[in-house]
Amino acid sequence: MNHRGELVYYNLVTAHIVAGVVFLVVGLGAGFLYSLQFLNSYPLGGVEFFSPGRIRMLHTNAIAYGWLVNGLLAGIYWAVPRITGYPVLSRTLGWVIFFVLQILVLLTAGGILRGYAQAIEWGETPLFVDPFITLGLILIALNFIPPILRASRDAPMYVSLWYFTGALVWVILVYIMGNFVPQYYVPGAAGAAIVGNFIHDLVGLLVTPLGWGLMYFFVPVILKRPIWSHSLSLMGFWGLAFFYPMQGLHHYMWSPVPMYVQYSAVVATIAIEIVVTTVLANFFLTLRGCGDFLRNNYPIRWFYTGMVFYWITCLQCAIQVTLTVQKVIHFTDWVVGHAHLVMFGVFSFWLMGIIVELWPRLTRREWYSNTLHGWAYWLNTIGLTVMFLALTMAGLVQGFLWWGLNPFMDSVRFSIPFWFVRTLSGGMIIAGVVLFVLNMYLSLQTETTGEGRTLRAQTTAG
Amino acid sequence: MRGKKKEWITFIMGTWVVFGVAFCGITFVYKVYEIVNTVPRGEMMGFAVIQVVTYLLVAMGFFFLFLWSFLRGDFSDLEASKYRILEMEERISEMERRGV
Amino acid sequence: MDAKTDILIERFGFVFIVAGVGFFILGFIFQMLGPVLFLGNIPIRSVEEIAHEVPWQFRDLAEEYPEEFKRAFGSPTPETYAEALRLGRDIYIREGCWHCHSQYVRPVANEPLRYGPVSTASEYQNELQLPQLFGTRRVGPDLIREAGVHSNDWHIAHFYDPPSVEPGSIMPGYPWFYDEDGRPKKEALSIVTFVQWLGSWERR
Repeated sequence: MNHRGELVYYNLVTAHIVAGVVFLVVGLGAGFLYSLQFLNSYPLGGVEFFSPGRIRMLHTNAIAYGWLVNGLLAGIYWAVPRITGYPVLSRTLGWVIFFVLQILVLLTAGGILRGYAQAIEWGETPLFVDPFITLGLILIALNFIPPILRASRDAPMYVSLWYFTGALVWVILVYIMGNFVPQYYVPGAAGAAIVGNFIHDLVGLLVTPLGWGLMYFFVPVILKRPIWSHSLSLMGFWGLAFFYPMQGLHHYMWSPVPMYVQYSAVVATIAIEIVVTTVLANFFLTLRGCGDFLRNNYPIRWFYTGMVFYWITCLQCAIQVTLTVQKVIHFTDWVVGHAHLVMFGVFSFWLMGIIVELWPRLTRREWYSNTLHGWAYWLNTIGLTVMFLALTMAGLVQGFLWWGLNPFMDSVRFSIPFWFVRTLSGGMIIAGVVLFVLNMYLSLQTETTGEGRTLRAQTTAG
Repeated sequence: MRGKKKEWITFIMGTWVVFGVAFCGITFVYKVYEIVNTVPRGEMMGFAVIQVVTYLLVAMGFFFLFLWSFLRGDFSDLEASKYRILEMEERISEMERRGV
Repeated sequence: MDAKTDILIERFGFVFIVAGVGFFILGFIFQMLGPVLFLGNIPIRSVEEIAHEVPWQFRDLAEEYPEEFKRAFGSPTPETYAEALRLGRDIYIREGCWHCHSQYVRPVANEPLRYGPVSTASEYQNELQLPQLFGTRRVGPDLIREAGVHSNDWHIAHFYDPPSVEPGSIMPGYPWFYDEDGRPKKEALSIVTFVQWLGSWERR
């Protein structure tokens, strides 16, 4: 705590939040546009740059690199100095990373629309962008590891720091592995093994640890009570570290990749469920006795809704990973529903909760409207639940139609009602997010409260 | 009354965790048994071995990191750091209040 | 705790962190180099090796669309066939085809009955599967046994406007593969060639 100057670089946090929210809106818009193709009413048909196939890649990449990475960075720029007591390595480096990240996201978007996409899921970033992303990830690690190392000399590390360190180191290795090896060296089935690992590890070794690390910081701080059991939380971290690296192959079940390898992925995936159960139990035991926060405090409400979705996702994951269930649901909309539940329902919800908490403290203003908060929350929650249910049902219908040897077009025709519901629920989600962003903007227009950054978003649900 | 209710909640949560762990554990053991039964023969063997060896190596890495952290004493007073961050947050908030 | 144990712990602590990081890196190297080493004896076929024999679909394209074919490729030789395959695969990636069409037949869910023989690892050991195109979703059908299922004409019409030949299809059209008169450009000929190649080894 002996330092001069600012501890948290507030402007960096604000900048990352703003950039992230912009890309969130863009990404959701792209997803909505793409879903219209499934109803045969795509408005930009026949235009090369806005071909639905390219818009789909824009959707996933804007969300992954534009929104999630920006949002998570904002979170750790806030959390790391506050946990460790030391500022990050350099403010200048922070701004360099910020601008490089935005430029890379824009280059990726442009490259994909222009036709330079790479055929690796979640890594469609054009080949000429990949080396710079690797460099950027190294810079991010360079900025955050020093305060963590310094803190680790003072006292045993808090679980969040373990998560952050893990994520920042792993993601570099995972990114290089997933983007370059299958592109240049390893074709076919062996390449698929690596790509499968990449797809899942980008979720599991970047987004998940950073997300949980932030939760382990924000939930105790807002509740003003420590996490129920720190040892249990460490078990969660070490469990993740032991079991996650091998999970990835469950993306290619019943594929030409040898069954032996597929079985190992099933084992690792089911093993991680034990870990998830401990983590979830830990958080819900922390909340014990102060359930009022769910009603009165928006950040906590977003966080715990996300956790419930996380639990559903993981339960679903343990079931769908088995080879029996895979027979039906592989390649269907079930998987799409699963992906939306985890990427939007969990991590985006958490990030929005963090924004609800931080935005007033960063801008020194009160939230403009709590009613808008309520609308944003319920539109998102209901929209996502409806989308998840519709896609899951669609997946079962498709899977059984294929198994039943119906003509292939049946699976398209019978899915259209589900896809219609999916587009509607997507509209609800977009409406919710737009209201959220509007609220952010309108708060900026109000007078500063002069109360400073310690202000809590102690909101009352509308 | 309130004490009773708390006990019940603990009991239900405990049962839930125990059943969850037991269920996952049994499934896990069963899947390990299945793996052992499916070791492929012939030319596919090398391909399978590579994945598993990689996994074991990575897991070993984490195991040693875990041991390192254990020997460093991270596990001697496990619950201390969770109170530490709350104190730290209090101090930083206080600082910010003064700074404004 | 006495000083002796302290030193012991310190020394072992150092060994363990080095071992920890070391094994992580070793595992990573293994993951990268391992497949190359272990699969070294299964040769990776280059596009030229695949293309040494020109299939009838490619010659048929040259007969059906002589002018366009001449402008795009010249004549149907192994070299031009290889060129068409490469470009076709690039288009397949560029347009994100692999997000809606998978490329492997599973041994379950009656898929061998619907699509054809179950896929094996050796089928994918070639340059066109760098990176692999297994796919992630089947909005449209699997394509790894697509060769010869439909005629060239069907494909040319289908890429221009899918619902015209497959009523109810939700696949988008790709009119920029065609010139103003609706005649196929090089892109259309290449993507048809590529799709007609997928699984051609099983049709012999």
